[in-house]
Amino acid sequence: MDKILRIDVGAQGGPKATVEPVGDYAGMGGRGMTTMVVYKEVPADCHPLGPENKLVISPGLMSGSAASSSGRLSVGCKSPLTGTIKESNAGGTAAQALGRLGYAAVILEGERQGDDMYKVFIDDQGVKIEKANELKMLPNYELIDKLKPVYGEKVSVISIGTAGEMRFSNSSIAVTDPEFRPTRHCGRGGVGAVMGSKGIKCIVVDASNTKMRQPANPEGFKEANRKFVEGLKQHAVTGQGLPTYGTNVLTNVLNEAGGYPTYNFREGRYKHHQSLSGELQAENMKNREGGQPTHGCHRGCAIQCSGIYTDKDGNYMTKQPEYETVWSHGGNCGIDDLDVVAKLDYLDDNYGVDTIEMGVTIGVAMEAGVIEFGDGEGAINLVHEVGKGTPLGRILGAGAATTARCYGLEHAPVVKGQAMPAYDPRAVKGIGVTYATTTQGADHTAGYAVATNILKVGGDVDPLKPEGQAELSRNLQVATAALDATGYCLFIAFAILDQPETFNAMVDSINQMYGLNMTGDDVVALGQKILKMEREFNKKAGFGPEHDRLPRYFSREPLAPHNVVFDVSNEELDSVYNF
Amino acid sequence: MPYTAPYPEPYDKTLDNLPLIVMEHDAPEWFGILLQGFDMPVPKPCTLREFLCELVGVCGVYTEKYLQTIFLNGKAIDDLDRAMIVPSSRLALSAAMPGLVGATMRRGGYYSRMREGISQSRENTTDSTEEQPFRLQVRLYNAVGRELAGLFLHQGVFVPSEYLLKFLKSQPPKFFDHLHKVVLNGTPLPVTSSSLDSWQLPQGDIALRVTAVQP
Ligand code: SF4
Repeated sequence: MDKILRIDVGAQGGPKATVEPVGDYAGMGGRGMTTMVVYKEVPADCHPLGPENKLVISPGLMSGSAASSSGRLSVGCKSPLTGTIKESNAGGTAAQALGRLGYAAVILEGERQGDDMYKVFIDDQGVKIEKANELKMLPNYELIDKLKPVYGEKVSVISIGTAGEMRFSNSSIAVTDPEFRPTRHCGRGGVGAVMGSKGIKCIVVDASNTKMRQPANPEGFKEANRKFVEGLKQHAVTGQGLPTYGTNVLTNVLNEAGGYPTYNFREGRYKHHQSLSGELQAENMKNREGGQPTHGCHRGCAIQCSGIYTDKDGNYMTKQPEYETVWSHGGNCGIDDLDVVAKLDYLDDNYGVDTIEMGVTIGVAMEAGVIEFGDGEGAINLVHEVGKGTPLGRILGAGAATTARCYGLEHAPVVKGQAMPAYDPRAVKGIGVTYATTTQGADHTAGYAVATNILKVGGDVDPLKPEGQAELSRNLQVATAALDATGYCLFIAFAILDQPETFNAMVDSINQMYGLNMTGDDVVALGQKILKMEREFNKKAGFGPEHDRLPRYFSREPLAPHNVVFDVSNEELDSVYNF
Repeated sequence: MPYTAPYPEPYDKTLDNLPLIVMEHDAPEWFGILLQGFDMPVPKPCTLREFLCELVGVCGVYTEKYLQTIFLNGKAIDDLDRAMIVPSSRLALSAAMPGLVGATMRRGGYYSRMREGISQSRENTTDSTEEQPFRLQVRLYNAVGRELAGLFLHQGVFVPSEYLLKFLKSQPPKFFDHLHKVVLNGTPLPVTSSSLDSWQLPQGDIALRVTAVQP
């Protein structure tokens, strides 16, 4: 991965591709790359949909190699939803394909000329860009159906649906999975709108004439990766829980904890949680024709947390909806039917919107009285309104914060304009610290369970100290930023957290791949460097500590059943970035 | 991890003197019947470890390694020896969960500090001195449900009779191929799916015990 592809969408006669050496960005991948390019090349005060913004697409450092679970693709830009820097990542097959073709990044830049939409084709022979107005306003699944006869099913596609084309602040970038379906999404932050603003409908990546990336030390790499996979397989979460139930295994447990946001974050428990549980979802996938409970979002994942979800008659409905999706459309909207949630997940993927933002927006619309809580049919119609760009759909497509503003509601569960995910910060306060302080707007993945205790980020932490929450959150955010640069999936976190030998095998895989001698300290330094650039960008974009807060009502309105409020002090929140 | 130890003798033979259904099944994958939660008899207030280990038989490596997420009355539990099972308690047992929240909820986990406010602390453990029998509400989730359902059913649980019937009616024919005997208060009941409507089950809660097929 030693080259960068730049596509100037404002060039005379249509978008023009230039390939250049990776240069100053050497050693960066995934979030490391997207953040560094945005930090260095995008003016922080620009409009996210203006010509100065750039969309940076980057495979992780390990993507395209034989390293297990390393096919994450990062997309970065200034976010139209939050106004901050943004990194949004997804699985699917494109990161591996770009990695194998040697691209460390694809950067869309410049000022779009006219209304034409373009498609980009990248293979081992180079890059072709063609006008593709026949693809205009196609939802993602229909787009893929049109591309299939032209390119076959072995290619990877990075695309936007109608929401991205209409430049909605809630719009995603889709990545195809091994079945050539557009099911994996860089969902958060409205990155699809930036791709739409550049007039690029899709990027088709064909790596069929390439080989897996070769490690600097093949034998050492093979051994390290073997140990790493062994560790993933033997751990109860990555070897058993995630493959069997997927992430939706969390529904029952979060509900039990009273931290399952219900009815637009009004309550912490949902009485019909069993109807949405991962256990039931797994049964459906096991018992229904065509269902597949254990499935990878790309080839070479040893965990395989995903699945294929079919209806009662065995017809494909969508990929296995994730916990956040089941929650946002399910309990958060009072909808207790997994099949309705699956339909909503399909529509979100098809029109190209983030499922968390969309579900939370529907919850806000329900509170506003647009439809009733529990109205599954109504929710489906609302997503169609978004996908078709009706006047109401345009409001909803702008996300939860805008929708609440339009309807005069205080209850917008957002931070920096981005909807909170499926964990109520009043019950799980440490998550609230991360929601409040991450550079990305409310985001649960920004502070994930990475092996901070092994990494000793910022020294030994005593989790029982009073200021422990901020310190833990800081360390998680640092470690996660580093992991997001590698292309490894965050779900490896549990295995590397619990099993030092698995963590060491992961670091060793990177070392053997690149011929490096990295230690845990270097990983920490990389994470800190990424966060500092993001923080600096946000500061220049006008974000200060006063934006690192949860909406006040989370400190005022107790959450049943535990009747807790978010009471982490501002001083503690402000201490997160003391490094 | 499958539960491999022989099941201990049921600790409560009377099961509250409720109408008792005993079923013999050779491959009782019965997690489904326990999905909605159930009640268990408890002879007197005790610690969670006493309940799990001494009464039910969930002990040792399984408890330490696999029972990673435990809630008592919605409060995350770190210490089995301090958490008290008392009248009207509700217990939920789960394996380790993914993600940051999974790590946060985990028993004695590194991130347990992040769930301050919903953890059971020394102050909010209730001491109950009333040595009376009572019922405990239990929920088994995910892999723990699959692995321990047989053991809990062997001990005997309380479920509403209408729920048991609904569950049986939703089972595929092969379930009944493996069902060898059903006895209600000592009287055998027919064991085909078509005969379910003829079962005269009393209304309300009944005691249910499932045993492996007797040789
Ligand atoms: S664990 Fe799941 S999300 Fe992560 S790489 Fe594997 S299949 Fe994709």
